[in-house]
Order: sequence, then structure tokens, then C-alpha cells
Amino acid sequence: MTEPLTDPVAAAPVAKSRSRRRRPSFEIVIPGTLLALIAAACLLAPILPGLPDPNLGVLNGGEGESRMGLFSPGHLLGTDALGRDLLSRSLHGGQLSIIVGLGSVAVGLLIGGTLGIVAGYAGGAVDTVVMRVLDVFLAFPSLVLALVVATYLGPSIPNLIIAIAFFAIPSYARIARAGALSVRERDFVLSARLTGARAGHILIRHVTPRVVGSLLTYGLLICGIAIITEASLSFLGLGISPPTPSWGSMMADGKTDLSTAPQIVLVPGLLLFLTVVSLNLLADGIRHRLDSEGSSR
Amino acid sequence: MTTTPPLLEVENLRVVFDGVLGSVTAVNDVSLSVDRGQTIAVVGESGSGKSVTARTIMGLSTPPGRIAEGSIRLAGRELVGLTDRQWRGVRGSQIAMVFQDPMRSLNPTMKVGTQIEEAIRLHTDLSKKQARARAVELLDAVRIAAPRRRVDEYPHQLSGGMRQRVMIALALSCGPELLIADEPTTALDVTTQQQILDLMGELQADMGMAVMLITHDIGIAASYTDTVFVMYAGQVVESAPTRRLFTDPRMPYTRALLDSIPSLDSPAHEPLPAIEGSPPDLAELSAGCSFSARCPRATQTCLTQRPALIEHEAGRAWACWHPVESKEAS
Repeated sequence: MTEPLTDPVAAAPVAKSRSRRRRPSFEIVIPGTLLALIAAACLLAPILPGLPDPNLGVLNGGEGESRMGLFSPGHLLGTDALGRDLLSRSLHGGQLSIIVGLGSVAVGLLIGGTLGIVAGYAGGAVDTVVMRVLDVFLAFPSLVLALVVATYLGPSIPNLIIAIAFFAIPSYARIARAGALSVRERDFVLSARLTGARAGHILIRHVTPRVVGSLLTYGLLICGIAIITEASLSFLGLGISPPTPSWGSMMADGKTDLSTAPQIVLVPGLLLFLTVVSLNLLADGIRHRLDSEGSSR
Repeated sequence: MTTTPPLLEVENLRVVFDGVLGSVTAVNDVSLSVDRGQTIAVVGESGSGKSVTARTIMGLSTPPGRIAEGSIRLAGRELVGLTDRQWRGVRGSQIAMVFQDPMRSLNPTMKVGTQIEEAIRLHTDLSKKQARARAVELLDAVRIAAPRRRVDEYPHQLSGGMRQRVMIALALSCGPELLIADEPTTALDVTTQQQILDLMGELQADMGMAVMLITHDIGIAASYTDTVFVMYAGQVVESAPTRRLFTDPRMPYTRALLDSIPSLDSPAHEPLPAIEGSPPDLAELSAGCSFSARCPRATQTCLTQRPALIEHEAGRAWACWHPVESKEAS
């Protein structure tokens, strides 16, 4: 009875995937760093030194003048039509984007993921009913409906989150269902059933961990889309009420001055662009990594 | 002998798979019984219905498969028609199962110890710490070296034989009365096969459980079991105490199977005897004996009438109109 302590055949692929995990990958590090910087700047905006109040302009006693250019004294990126500091407004507006982005992903992922996992694992009638209902939602033009929901519910952060999350639910559910379907047929799920495990236990311990990876990756992509949707709603005047800054409403305010003071649109626009591109690149990078690790198992 | 009822009694079990083009009877009128502490083998080629029988006993007949008739009794309790909730109390604690491929039957993302602990905690109210101690004991019982370290390892860190040991530990975690082993050694190499079978034999003796070994390897059945059931095309065609089945097969199919085993004293450079043809399509079974098309002894009767499995001698039954002559009688 002398079993070898480590089987070289079984050990080999492990060593490989470990070394891969430790090697820093530019696909993840670059967009990750960029995102971290943007997020840190936005979240720390209220306590950053030298940053004026975002809502202080010519009308309420701010010291800035209307439409100051880049690198003006006291206003690094200039001011908008009301003399409010663009950098400060952009960073404060970023907070809203982050909250709405993460919030809608969390809500959508939780609801959509749960529905998808349950539908996929249960199969049969449950699967059919849940998925067909979600298919109907998938067929709606999401921005138009988010518009309707936002108008109907009124502008507030939770309502924005709900309006945006609502239409991402079907996509999460589809991804979760696909994962659950493939795990359901695996022998280890069968063997868990054979030890007498409840469906709930199997869902939480065996199915969910296998689905969470792809859901989170997809969540990053959707986070970018959610931020764009929030900006679009704000641009159309259906986002958060002024004067609270938001990238979308800042761009809307600046669009009349585009020829004379393009920085009013460009500053929040560039931030929006960088944030969403980083999110997409990061999601891609993580998906690559998950794929290559998944194949070594 | 018949004073205590058998642990598992399967009677006239028929499992049907309903398809678009008609239904297929995968298990046809199968009866078998396992006594407490006994080891039986169910031997048959692919598609003979042995795995479907095993899965049905575990309550895993899911649509399109269904139990058309028959009963399955465990310690006198009818299992056919149990609800999911009732099944949970049976699976794991009374009947456990070991599968063919241990890599796929263990969750690759969970430590093996955790998987055993969870199985234990499903059926007992042990604390996490106690369950863990029990998991270490079980790993030790299945002869895994350094069990304290192994509990914290993942399935991919173990060898094939060790994984199958873990599966056995998992199956034994709640002290089942019956262990169904569905081709437990098919995915392992020959020396490991031997070790796993020896281990199962020892554990069985220690724990006093019954084992139902499903295999296509008649050699494994020969060395480890008390009784053998030979299945062909969804039916049990012969059952006998292991020794007598091997020395004195009566059903021509069994005989042909035994003849096709190579032995050390078979003449060199001569093709092994094989059974001509292939098993019948279960969707198009004839009215006669399912083996008749391949049977050298088949007559007109065999083609038109199906022989029933009849107990011709004490403890021995076969389904054949023209059984092979007994060597013992002559």
C-alpha cells in the first residue's frame, strides 16, 4: 500500500497554471490601474486639497469666471458656463457614475444570476417560463424603456439603478443558465445528489461557484454600458437632478458652447470614455485569464 | 437462510425510456436481491441495462426514463414512488454509490475534505470540527497516506486511485447498508483496480454492508462476489452463486462470455472465441429470446417465445429453452 505522495502526472498541469496566475498580465494591469486611479480620484474628490466646491459658480459666490480655459489659475481644467470648476464637477460626477454602475450591476447580477441558475438547474417548465419571460424583456429597446422607467419613477439614484439594472437582468440570466446547464450534467452534481444533498445546497455549493466567474466578467462589461446609459439619461435630462454633477448632464450643458469652450464637453466625455474603455479591456483580460485557467482543469 | 428478508429486493422491474419514435425498454422484468453483507455482481456488456438498473435503485430515473412496473424494496421499505424529500433520507445514509470516473464525480473546485464533511453533515448533526475529524478518519480508513494533509487538497492534486478512494470515503461517510459501485475500477489501471477492489472487500467486511458491483469485467466479478447476475438486452438471463456460474454456466450467453476470456493455457496464435453479431436494438426486440439471433443453440421456439427466468436449482436461475448441459450432472 505505497501510494506515491504526489503523482507527477496530476501535479504537472497545476504547476503550469500557478505560474500563469502569478505572471502580471498587461491586459489586466493597465486597464485595472487606470480604473483604480479614476475611481480613487472620484471617490476622494470631496477631500482632495485645492479642489473647489463643484456647485460654486458665478451665481452663488464662487470666485471662478464663466467658461475659463484649461490651466486657468485655481481651475486646472477650466470652468463651465456658470463658472463652476470642471475638474471638481467631473470627479464628483464620477461618483454618481461609479455608484450607478456598480449598483446596477449588483442588482442585475443578483436577480438575473439567481433566476438563471435556478432556471438552468431546475429545467423543464420552470426553465421555459422564466426564460421566455426574460426573452420578452430582452426584446425591448433598453434605453427607451430606461427612459420611461426613469420618467415614471422620478430622478433619484436608486431609481436610476433600478431602471438600468432592469434591462440587464435577462442577459445575466442567460449566462447563468448556460453555466448551470453545463454544471448540472456533471457527475459531481449527481454524486452530491446521491449523498442526499438538497437542491438548494447543490445550487449554492456546486453550481454557483462555477457560474460566478463568467457572471462577474460579464458584469464588468455591463458596468461600462450602465455608466453610458446613466450618462445618456442625464444627457437627456432624466438623470439625477441638477445641480448635482453628472457626466451626462455636464456634456448636455456644454453642448451649446462646443465651438467656443469645447473643454466643457470634452473633460467629462474623456473621463467617460476612459472609464468605459478600461472596463471593457479589463473584462476582456479577465475573460482570457479565466478561459486559459479553465482549459487546464 | 430465508429467515431474514434480503436487504434489497428488486422485483419485476421494468424501466422504459419514452422517445419520439417509440419507447425503449432498457430494463425488462429484472428481479434481483441482495442480502445484508453480501456482494453481488451485475455483469453485462454496454447497453445491457446494468447501469440503468443501478441508477433506478438510487432513484435517479428521470424523464424520459420511467419505472413502468416493478418494485424496489430496501429493508422491506418500498422505494418506488418516494418523494424527493424521502429520497434524500435514503440516499447517502442507506444506499451510497461510487461511479466510474472519480475525477468527474468530485467537485474540482472544492477540497476533498470539505466534500466529505458536507456529506457527513447532511445526515448527522455533527459540528464542523467533528465532521472534519470524521473526514480524516474516513480518509485513513480508505488507506490514504497522510490524511491530515490530504483533506485540504483538491481533487486534481490526487492520483486516480486516490480519488477513487476519496469517492469511497464519501460513499461510506454515513455508514450505508448498501454500496452500489458502478464500474468503480474501469477508469483505473490494473494494479490500482486490484487495490481498490481489495479495499472495498476489507471495508465491506469491517462495516458489514452489502455491495452491488456493476461491471462489464467478468473477471472482477469472479474474484470478489458471492452471487452473479448476468444481464443481456435489459434482462437478467442467468443468476448463480459466483463459483457455480463460472464452473458450470447454463445459459449459452454466459457460456459464450466465459469462453471469450483469454486464459494462460489457451493455444497461442489462435483467435479468441468471440460472440458473433452484436446485441439487439432495444427498441426492436423480437418476441423471442433476445439472445436467439446470436445463439448457437437457438431453435424455432427461441425465436418466437421468450424464456422466463426460472429458478431451476436452489439459488440458480436461468432464462433459456435449451440450457447448456450441466457439467456437474455428468
